[in-house]
Amino acid sequence: MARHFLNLAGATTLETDSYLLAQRAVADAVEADAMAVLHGDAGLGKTFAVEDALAAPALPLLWVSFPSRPTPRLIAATLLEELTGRPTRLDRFAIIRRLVEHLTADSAIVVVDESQLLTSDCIELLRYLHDHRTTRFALVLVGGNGTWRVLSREPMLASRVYRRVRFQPLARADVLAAIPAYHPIYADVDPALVELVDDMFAHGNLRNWAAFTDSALRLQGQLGHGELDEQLTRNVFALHGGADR
Amino acid sequence: MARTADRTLTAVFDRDDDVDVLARLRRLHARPFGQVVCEPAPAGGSAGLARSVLAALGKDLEVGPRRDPVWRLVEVHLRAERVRELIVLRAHALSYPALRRLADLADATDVHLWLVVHHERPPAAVAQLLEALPHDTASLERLLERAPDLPDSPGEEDLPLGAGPEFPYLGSIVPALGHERPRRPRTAIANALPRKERSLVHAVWDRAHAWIARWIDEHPKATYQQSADAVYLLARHGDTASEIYVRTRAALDAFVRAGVDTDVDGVDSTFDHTFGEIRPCEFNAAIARAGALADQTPDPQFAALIALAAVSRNPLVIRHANLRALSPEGSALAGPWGGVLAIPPELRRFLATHHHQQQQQPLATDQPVPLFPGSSHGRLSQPAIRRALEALDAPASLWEDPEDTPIGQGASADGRALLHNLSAWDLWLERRQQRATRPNRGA
Repeated sequence: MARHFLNLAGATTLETDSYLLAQRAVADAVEADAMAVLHGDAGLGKTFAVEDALAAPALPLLWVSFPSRPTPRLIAATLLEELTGRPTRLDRFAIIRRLVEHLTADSAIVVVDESQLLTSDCIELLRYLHDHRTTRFALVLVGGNGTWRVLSREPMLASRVYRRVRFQPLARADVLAAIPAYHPIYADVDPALVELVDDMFAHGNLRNWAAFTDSALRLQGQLGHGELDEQLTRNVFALHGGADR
Repeated sequence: MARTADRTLTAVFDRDDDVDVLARLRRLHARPFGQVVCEPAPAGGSAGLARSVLAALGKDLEVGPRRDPVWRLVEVHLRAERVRELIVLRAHALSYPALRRLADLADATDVHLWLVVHHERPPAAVAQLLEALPHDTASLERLLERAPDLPDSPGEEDLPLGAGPEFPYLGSIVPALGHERPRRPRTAIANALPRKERSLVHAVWDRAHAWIARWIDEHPKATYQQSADAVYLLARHGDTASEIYVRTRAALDAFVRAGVDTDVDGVDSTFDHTFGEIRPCEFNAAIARAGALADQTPDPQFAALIALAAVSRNPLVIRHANLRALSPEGSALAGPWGGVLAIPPELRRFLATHHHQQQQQPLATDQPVPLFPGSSHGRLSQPAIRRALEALDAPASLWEDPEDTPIGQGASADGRALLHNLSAWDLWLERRQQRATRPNRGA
């Protein structure tokens, strides 16, 4: 089960277009041992969608993320550690060799989060592992908006990316349709208030909606306020440093 | 280093880097025909490229000892494998020192180097190399057209099939052959057998005889070595020692009838001494296993050791083997105590490579030169040989019989000892020397 931002209690999963496409893309990539790229601004639910799609994976799941500009050796060593459960001190040749052996023996799912941080050499390494004659694994690259810019610089990806999903902020109509079902706090709220929150704070971004909801719930509890209204809403804005974040 | 204008370095640009094109490029790999496709592991630098080339040549650096630097091994194996075309994919990811070293090595070994850059333009390292060296540029299609022309198979498909493990046991015919060559060998061999078994032996004889007769017709200018190899090929496809013997005698009879005298006595003598129990001959499987192990061994000396160990099955013979007793092409080794050991064709290149390597060293002119140098009186000791072979992923029985194996029941009793005597030297050359000193009995 995927985890909502801030572990927000009572929140439901919003099955937005991007979420549904991501579910399908990940499932297809896993089935075909292929490559999928999911990209978009931070907070749009990419990681949540992939976590949800892989909540009960039938194959070993290697979920990795790296610091800025990782080296190919770090990528390889991290993947090997995920596979074996042990850190390695082997040289890069031996690590790549072991990785190929492991990924040949057993199919797997490799998810690289924050993949906009990858360098060309790192992408080349992932391509090498994925293109290897004997390996079989699905590769899911998840990342912020720079991801596609980074990946699309590599001509190899055009023929290798099997599924691509671009996450975008929720449009106003989608917000009005989805938010009342997102959390009980919005069940009977005036649509104009939802518009106000979206206009001034959330901007169709699910992470912002989660942050707003969490703060509103806390404030409600502390003040004994019954329901979400404009006063409470503006107080939440104040807690977050004002609106228009 | 001096440069010549005819250097063969070709750059290919694959701007789309399509996965299907990669698959087609990989299909250009045909190592037996001297065309090798190397896909370097990323971020490996110069040493990484050398390892990747070795991997493309089938060598596994984790197998056996490593006496030489990796680039030296690359040079050795490019020569040993007679590589003519080396296609390096993803050249855009390589560094200039790695590219330069490979280009220089390719030049020194007469290998045509193709650098496939999966970008629209050359990155700095490739551009620097192309600036420095004579080269040409080719389209991707031109490279993809270089699918190797596979030659016709050498005629193995029409070899007589093995007669199976139920082939009659011929142990009783050894005394019947006597010391004089019988005028009708087919009759002499099968004479003591019941009628049904006799007809089976006759059938095997006739098929083997016909195959060699056809081979002789088709190869009127064959050398002694080629002729010996044909006999060897025919014989090794027999399923038991008895069948191998019948095939060998039939082949030699065909040569005699074609006017080419052979040393049948030597074959009969081997048969007399090594004939064993009735069981399938496992020689071909053992040689295939040893060939695969030697093939992935980067160290030429260890690969040669594996090859010789599979044939001789005797660490003492290996220890005392001499370099000068090995034919340069690896087809035969004169044993340290006499006799010549025929080496199966698929193992020869390992011995030939090692021979070539050893010949590069300064050799004493008046003393035997160990084929496998070591620290025990200048030779590899028997325990060291055993330890080296034990490290391989293969059963110990591949290299040696257990100590308590009775005579006539070891692996050599399955017919392979007969094959060991089918060298050109045994079958023809020795006979030519004898003829110079004494009359030819079979003439």
